[in-house]
Amino acid sequence: MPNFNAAPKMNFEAEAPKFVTPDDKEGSIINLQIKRNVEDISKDIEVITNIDKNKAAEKLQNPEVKNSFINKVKQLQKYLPALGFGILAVGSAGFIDIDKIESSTFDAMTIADVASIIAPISAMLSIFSGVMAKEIFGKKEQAKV
Amino acid sequence: MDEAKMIEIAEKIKNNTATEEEVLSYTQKIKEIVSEIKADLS
Repeated sequence: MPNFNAAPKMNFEAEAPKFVTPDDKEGSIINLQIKRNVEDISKDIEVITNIDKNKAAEKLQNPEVKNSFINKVKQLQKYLPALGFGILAVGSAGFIDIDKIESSTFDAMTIADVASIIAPISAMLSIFSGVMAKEIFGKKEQAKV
Repeated sequence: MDEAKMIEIAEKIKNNTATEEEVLSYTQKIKEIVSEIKADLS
């Protein structure tokens, strides 16, 4: 007969996650969701930055797409500068020329024109991504102290 | 979420006074907008 009493006792306690209260656990999940959001945004920024400018110009010739694009950029210009830092400068100081976008027919736009519209949007979003990463990881660092 | 709330949360994030729930809803909204911009351009 094997002697089960002789088996080494496993100490699960040492590796258990340190969720002290339900609130802490919920907080960790929310933080993870925020982190995922920022990661998803970063991935999309990369795609937008490297987008085929010819294809983008072609798509923007469609008035519906153009209006949607303009409205989204305007929303970012409203929501991001309040975070401060470089976003304020890049987002609201005329780098993204909404008037130019609105008045353009896009069919006459060159690749350089489209690139000049996309570049500051990418820059603004990249700064945003950096600020949010600092927000997430900064708080983690603070919690460690 | 309305515009005023988004701007209010952004200011709270800047001042380090936003709750995790607020940061989550803010990043969620920005994620949606960025995703739609990507869809518009690609």
